[in-house]
Amino acid sequence: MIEFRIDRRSGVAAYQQLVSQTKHALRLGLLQPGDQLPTVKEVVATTSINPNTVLKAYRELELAGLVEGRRGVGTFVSAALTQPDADQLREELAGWMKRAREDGLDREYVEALVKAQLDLHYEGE
Amino acid sequence: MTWVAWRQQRLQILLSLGIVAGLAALMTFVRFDAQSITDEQLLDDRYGTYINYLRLVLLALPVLLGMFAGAPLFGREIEHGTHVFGLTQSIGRTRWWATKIVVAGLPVVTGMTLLGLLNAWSSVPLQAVMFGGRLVTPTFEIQGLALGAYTALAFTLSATFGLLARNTLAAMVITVIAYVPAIAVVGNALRPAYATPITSTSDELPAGAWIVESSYVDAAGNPVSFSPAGCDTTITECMRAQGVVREVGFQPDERFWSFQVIEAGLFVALAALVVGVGAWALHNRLRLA
Amino acid sequence: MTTIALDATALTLRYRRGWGLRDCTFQLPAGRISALIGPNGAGKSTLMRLATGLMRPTSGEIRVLGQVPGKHGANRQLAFLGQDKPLYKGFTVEEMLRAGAKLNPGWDDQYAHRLVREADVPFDAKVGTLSGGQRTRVALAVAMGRRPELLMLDEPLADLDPVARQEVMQAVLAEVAETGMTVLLSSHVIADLDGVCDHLLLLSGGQVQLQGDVEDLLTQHRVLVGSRELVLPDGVVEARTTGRQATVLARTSNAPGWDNNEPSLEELALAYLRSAKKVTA
Repeated sequence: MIEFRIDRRSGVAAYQQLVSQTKHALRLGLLQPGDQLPTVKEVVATTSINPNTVLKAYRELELAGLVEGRRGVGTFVSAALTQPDADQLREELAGWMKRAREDGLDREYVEALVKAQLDLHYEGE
Repeated sequence: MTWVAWRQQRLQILLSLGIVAGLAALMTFVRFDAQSITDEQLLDDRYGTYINYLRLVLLALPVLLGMFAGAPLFGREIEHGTHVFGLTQSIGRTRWWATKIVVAGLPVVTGMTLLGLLNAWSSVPLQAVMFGGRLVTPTFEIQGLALGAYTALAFTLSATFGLLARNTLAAMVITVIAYVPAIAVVGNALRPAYATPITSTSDELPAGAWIVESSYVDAAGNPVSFSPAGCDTTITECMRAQGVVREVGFQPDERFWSFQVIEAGLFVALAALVVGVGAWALHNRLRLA
Repeated sequence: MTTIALDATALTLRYRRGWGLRDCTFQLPAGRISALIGPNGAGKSTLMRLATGLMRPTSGEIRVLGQVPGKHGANRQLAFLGQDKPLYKGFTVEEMLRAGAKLNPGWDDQYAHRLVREADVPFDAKVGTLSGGQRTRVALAVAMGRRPELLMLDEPLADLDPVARQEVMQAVLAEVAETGMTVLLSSHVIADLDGVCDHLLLLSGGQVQLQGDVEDLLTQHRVLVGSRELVLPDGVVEARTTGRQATVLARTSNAPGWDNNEPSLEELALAYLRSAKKVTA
């Protein structure tokens, strides 16, 4: 079981925060198939958000095939969130970072570059 | 709602009934004690003060107990905002209002009515040492059915004023301002005319007669003017010399109970009118703000 | 079950001086948590009192779950908790619940007791001795013991400390999650309602300034920051300038040249309230 945390100042919609925190936990293995997600009542009782928001997040996770709701019982993880092998990409990124450092780019500038590219390629996620 | 109203008012109800019960015990004792005293002077010595205090207490008690039960009934509830609770439950507002009136009013009005009847019985042996008859103020007001009827008017007045003024203290003040003149006007202007007075020119009137009018007439029975100022003898001799007699109209003592019924009916009707105003206020004035 | 919980048509209430509500037309959907936002004196309490039948409108109409509030007390499916949480001070908590049971035919005694137990309030305590938070929890238990379809809370958090605010809000939300009841919640503190409400009714000066689904409203509006020379888009709600820079809140999806972001609920509400104030001033 995981506990959600809502950051109201992040500017990210609360239901998206729930979705991404669930996915994050799946990626890190904190949630595994068969595990139960907190009930809507439990989520709202710890986060003070609208129950409909929680329902919306769970519905989205369900549509993504990650969880399934069992009527009157709860919502359970149905699939693991696995990522393709990323060894080669990681090596390439490491090489790129090394060059950036050698070229004298400071940390904040690199972060901004990465974020801009993330926003460009992962738009709307 | 009955339970809720009772729980809200129980302190007032029990305190009022306690006072009534205490007085009732005292009156019962007085009746039996006074009955055993045959000497009038002795009776006056023992009960003269009692009669004075009892008059004072019983004249004040209807308005005091009536206000005590009635003024906070809606006044304090509105002051504390708890009427919002009562009026937003599943029961109708008429039922809320009527139940509160009955639960708070019925015990004290009933108690005072019984106390009045008890006092009528208790006062019988004291009649000899009381000034005037039973029809005279303040003896008439403190016994029989009047006591309960006065309480009913004071209670409904203060309950309705509480609803209108939305304040307990204001309700009490307005109640006194309305109640005292009502009692005074009825006692002085209306009560003497409840029945046609019996006229008599005799010097000897029946015991307990209440003289409500008096005039001077000649031998033929025509009214004449007579001024004792122009006499150089005693007034009686002067009248005889001029052929003038004094004629009085009086209410005999046996009309006491019918007068009580009329007076009580009058005050109960007034109370009913006030309740009607309260019902109107409940549905029209209590909607705003 | 109706899909519209509250339905007002040209609802107007006139006081001896001034307006309580003026020509308000709105609908609140069932099954949602609606926020009633507005400054003090905007007409929030007036609106709720009209819905409970505590007051009667001067003109117009309000329907609560399809019914016009009438002579027969409040709608049985409507529970209302007034701003000062009116409870009988001399009653114990247990007696207060008993009063709720006596005054409401559909009373769920077990449920009401459970809510009080969850709030850790002793049943034999006098209501007058309770803290603000405890009092609110008891008042909520009495309101929810009726098992209402619609729960109206007038400034429920106004006089509470931060911990109690959170506890009360969480208690309400937990019960909403379980029962699916419709809630209308008023506040003049917008931050209290952010994330909690999914429908918005914005009142100012007795008039409806904005209403709708919170998420739709947020996506329909943009906070635009840019040079004051730029062309203003359509649907400007409020525009402020500081030096060469302009900050604009507009109901638009397209504003070329501007740096644009989705507003927060607070930004959105404040922009509307400020512009309403300017119009009336």
